[in-house]
Amino acid sequence: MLGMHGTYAANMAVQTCDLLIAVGARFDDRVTGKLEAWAPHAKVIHIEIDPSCVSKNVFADCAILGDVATVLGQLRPQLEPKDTAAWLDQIGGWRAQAAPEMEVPESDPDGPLGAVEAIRKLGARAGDTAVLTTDVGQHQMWAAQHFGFVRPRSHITSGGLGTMGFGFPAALGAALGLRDTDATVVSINGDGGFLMNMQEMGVARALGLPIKVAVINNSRLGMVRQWQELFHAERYSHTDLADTNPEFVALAEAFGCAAFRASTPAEADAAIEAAWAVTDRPALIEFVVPHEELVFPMVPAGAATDDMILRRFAGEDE
Amino acid sequence: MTGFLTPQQLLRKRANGETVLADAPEIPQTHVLSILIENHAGALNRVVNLFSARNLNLDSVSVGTTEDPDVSRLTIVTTGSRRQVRQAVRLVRQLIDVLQLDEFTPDDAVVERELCLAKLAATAANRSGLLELTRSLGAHVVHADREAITVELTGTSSEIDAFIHIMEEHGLMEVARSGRLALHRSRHLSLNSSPARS
Amino acid sequence: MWPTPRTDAPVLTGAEIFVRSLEAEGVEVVFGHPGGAIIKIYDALATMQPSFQHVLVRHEQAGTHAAEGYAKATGKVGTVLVTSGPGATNTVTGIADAMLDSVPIVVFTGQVAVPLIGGDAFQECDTMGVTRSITKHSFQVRSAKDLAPTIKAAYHIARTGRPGPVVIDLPKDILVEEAEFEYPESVTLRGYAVPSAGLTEKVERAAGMIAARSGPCSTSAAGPSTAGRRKHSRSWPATRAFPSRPRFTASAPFPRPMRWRSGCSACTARTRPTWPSRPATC
Repeated sequence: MLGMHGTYAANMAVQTCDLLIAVGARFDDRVTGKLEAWAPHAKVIHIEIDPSCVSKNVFADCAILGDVATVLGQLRPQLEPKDTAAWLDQIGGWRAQAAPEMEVPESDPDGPLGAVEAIRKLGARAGDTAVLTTDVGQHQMWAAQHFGFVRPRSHITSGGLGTMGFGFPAALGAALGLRDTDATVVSINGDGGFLMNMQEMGVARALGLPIKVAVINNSRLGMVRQWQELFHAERYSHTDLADTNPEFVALAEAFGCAAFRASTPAEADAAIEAAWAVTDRPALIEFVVPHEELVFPMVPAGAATDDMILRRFAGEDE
Repeated sequence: MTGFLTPQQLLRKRANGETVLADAPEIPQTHVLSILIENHAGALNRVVNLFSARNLNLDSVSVGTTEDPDVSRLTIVTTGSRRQVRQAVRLVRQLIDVLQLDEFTPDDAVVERELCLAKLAATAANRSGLLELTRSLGAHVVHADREAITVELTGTSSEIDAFIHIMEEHGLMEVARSGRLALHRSRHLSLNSSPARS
Repeated sequence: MWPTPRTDAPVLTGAEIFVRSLEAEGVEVVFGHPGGAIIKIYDALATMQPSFQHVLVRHEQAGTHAAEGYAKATGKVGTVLVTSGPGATNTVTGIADAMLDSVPIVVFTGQVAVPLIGGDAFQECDTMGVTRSITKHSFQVRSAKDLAPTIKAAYHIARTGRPGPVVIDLPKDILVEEAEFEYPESVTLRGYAVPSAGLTEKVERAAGMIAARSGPCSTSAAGPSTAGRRKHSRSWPATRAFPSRPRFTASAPFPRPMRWRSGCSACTARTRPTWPSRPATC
């Protein structure tokens, strides 16, 4: 994943490469960051079905209009395998460079539960058959970074409009469409967005859809709060939901759904197992997490994508 | 693609301290678009919406049926940067109600006409002078009564501008303009093929 | 504009034509919420035992998101059915969402009877006007005989090319009007062309550029997933040894076992002293 919350290696590769092949892309600002500094060395091949997306923001040196599947099929026989070992090594180097930041220390099973940790546990439990829907906000970025996707069409999210309240009803639709398959539909939500369309819990229960509904509850509008912390001198204007949030477990139970609560890693493991044991109705897991956890890496809006904030207090660990 | 700069290219030029030339894309220019659309409710609105949604003002819009009663021809004059207009044109082309589109550049051999109706205050004293003046400017009287005369003039938009400018000193009361109509002298829009590019 | 039904076609009401058309289109699930303007269709659902399932959602916005989730998960077109006025305006967010993420959904909105349109009738809203800039296309059906071909066209438009939302506005009186019903096998939309193959010279040029460069890097949005033919995206970067980095909306177009997918290598931060150091990540 590249862009504002993409990986260091991905963004560095784009910033360094001499050829960029865009397959069905519109190069929005969350991907490019500071446009004039984006992919500065790259020639661009853009395969695209929508003519209005070509050279809209980023100049396409070669634009191929057509259906992506057809065009890739046309292009493939014309390509010879290339020796790209040096380039791949370079990318491997970037990944290694970011690796120390990524090591997960053993967490205290009875200590506080992190949002990322909760999402990683969900991803691990869901495995290869998972179809994930997310809402919009911090949990959405963490899910994209940490959940782990295997199958095509398994990451369902509101990417363009950024609609809070999307995640849970989308899971309802996905679960209906996939009910005769082996897919497990998991919906990861924030506490803010979940409340915008949680009324569909009763519908999912009536249909007997065993959706795993995670509410990552940090009692904040977390992504706005993150911007306020980083870019607005910690003025947390109207992003604290603690006073207005419901009891999510009681709320889910009021709709006849199973519900579990976890605020430590150990409780999270138990709650996930319990939720996966429910097969006849939705199971909600409220993960109570601290609100200080931020989404990183982050390219500040308007910055070049190789100008990333990798963590909150750079150098503090040194 | 030549002559257009994407936002990325523009920003890079600026960042490198390169001056953006006078003919650079962000300098607003007048563009004339000739569009064939389905002749039903909403089609015109869909096209016009795309311009307002991109903050492009329409200098004139004229619409009427064509030789095919199911098809309307829409002539749009808009002022904006080439990039803005190009993007709007691409989106207009994609509309399902839009059948064909041709963009006329200043270099194109295009026949352009606009119709103007002008009502002029007329008294017994100035009436004959007014009639003579308007006639000498190529206008025809279409109505006259005791207070006013109404004349019509057909010409290019700049001829009509000049006419109105003169008439402002001769009791001009009211003006109605049709908006610009344009046809290319040689190439034509056909529902069966793309317009031949010169 | 539309084909005429054969002469022995059965005569049905607009509401019945709606149900039979959705069946003929292969619709499996409809997410909907009833109301006055659309009640004739709900009556038909009660009497006709349609082959599709109707899911009664509790808010129309959720209905559109559910249709999006259905469409994204299955690759089929999602279907929404709502009443006029507030039913229609509640779908606006979902329609805009589907527009920006290129999700194929068809939204049927009720409307007051044709003679009342524009008169500020109860639960009237200019749905066509409100949704015009956030749909791939929209139709208002003015006659029961136009209903079946309009539905055929709407699903075709939603599904093909760059997919997107299509709105069909259904005035109440056309749902009781009778017309001959035959679901057309195809409709011709003369203003709509779907690009398929790329120009050969462009493809050759791209191949030349790839051969000439040392460090290619591919990025993709949702395109390769929604294009459906996954065999290409699966074998492509792997056999050509390209690092491939999907954009956010497409974190899953390429299957994971591919060697050089960069995956997600983000790291979360150390946090405040109240919150123990927890740099978690992959």
